[in-house]
Amino acid sequence: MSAVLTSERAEVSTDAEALYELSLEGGWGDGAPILAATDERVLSLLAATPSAPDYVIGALPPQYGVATVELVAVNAAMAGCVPEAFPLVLAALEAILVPEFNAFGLTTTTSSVFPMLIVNGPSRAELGIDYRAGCMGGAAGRGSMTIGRSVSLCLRNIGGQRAGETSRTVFGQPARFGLCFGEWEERSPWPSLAQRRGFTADDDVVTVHGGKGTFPLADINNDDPRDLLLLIAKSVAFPLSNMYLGGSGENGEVVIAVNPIWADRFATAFPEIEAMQEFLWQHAWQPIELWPELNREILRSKDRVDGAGRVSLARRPDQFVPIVCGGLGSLHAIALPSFGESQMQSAAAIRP
Amino acid sequence: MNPQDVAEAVEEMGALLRLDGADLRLVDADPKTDRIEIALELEGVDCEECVMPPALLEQMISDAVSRCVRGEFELVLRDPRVP
Repeated sequence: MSAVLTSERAEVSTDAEALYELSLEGGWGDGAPILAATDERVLSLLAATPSAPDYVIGALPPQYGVATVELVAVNAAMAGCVPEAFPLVLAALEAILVPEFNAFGLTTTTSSVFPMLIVNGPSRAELGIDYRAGCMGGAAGRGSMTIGRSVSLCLRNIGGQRAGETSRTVFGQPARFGLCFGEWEERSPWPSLAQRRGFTADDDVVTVHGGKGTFPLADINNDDPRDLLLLIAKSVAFPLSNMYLGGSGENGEVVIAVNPIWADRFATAFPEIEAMQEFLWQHAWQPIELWPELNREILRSKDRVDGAGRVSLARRPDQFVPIVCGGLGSLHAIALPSFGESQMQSAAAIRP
Repeated sequence: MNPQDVAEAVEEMGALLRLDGADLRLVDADPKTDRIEIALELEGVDCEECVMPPALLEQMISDAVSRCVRGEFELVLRDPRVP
């Protein structure tokens, strides 16, 4: 039996350009052309989930609009999401709504942070979720572009998040259009991110990370894995990181995306991912002398300085999250720095 | 990456090497990892130094594979002359 749609309806032109203009005028687009959320498109998305259309996923900040499955489907339809990918959109929203993710903070802060989606699982490749060359922008996989965009449109149209209005983000970032990429599990020498977070290799899993942007790292001068990882640790512990700004450093993760060539190199020295995380944690610090006196006082008052005068970026090794993706050009990694007051969350896609 | 395309490239380069008594063997070409492993076989070679030098051989194989394969790949050449 087909679902009965209850959302507010709008008459739109079949002309693509007219629809685009209408979305801009109405403020329910994101600046790029959209598809019409026709009954047919919305119903096909709803058929891809066991949840009822009126099932409430939660109230999306910052204005706490109620996200029903049907409203999510409407936004996913506008983003061009295919039915097979729709359960991943729902999983992403489920993860975003976990209180420890701090979605209200993310959608209202002056920071550039936004939810970044990392996908693991068997559907990754067939859905067109980019995980090889250009996975964080430019590879143009349908899954990457439409799943990320669906989530962004939900935050915008259901949650009411708008830069310069409800969101005080100063700069924003490209991921606000939607950033969704996969892990190249077949090239990872370690268990996948999802497996490390308690899921199986058969699960399609979305992990959401409150990332402040893409922070590129490169080296062509040293093949030693420990030397290279030391430099990565020092690079991500930059003095104006949010993880030094806020409180104790107990929250937030730094995602470190390494390409398969570097991953193989790191695995020779760190066959276990936990050893790599421990190494990163041990070296991701800066000497207190690096900061001017005023900043030193604040860091000391927050108990961030150890007996040796080191200011560690994080409190625990598990706050460093290596993943494997990207092209085979070697030489490069990308860090996704943390907002700080947000903890990474994961949810599995549920299919009928 | 289509393993059959890789095999054709390996055969193209192998034909050149067979003139000197050497050969190439495709060990693995996995579309899920984009890793191509090729072994240089020198059993029938009297003069190993007469076969193309390792770096040049790897570059020529890489070029040959690039002509047949769309997208990126990682080439691993097992050359017994390289320790």
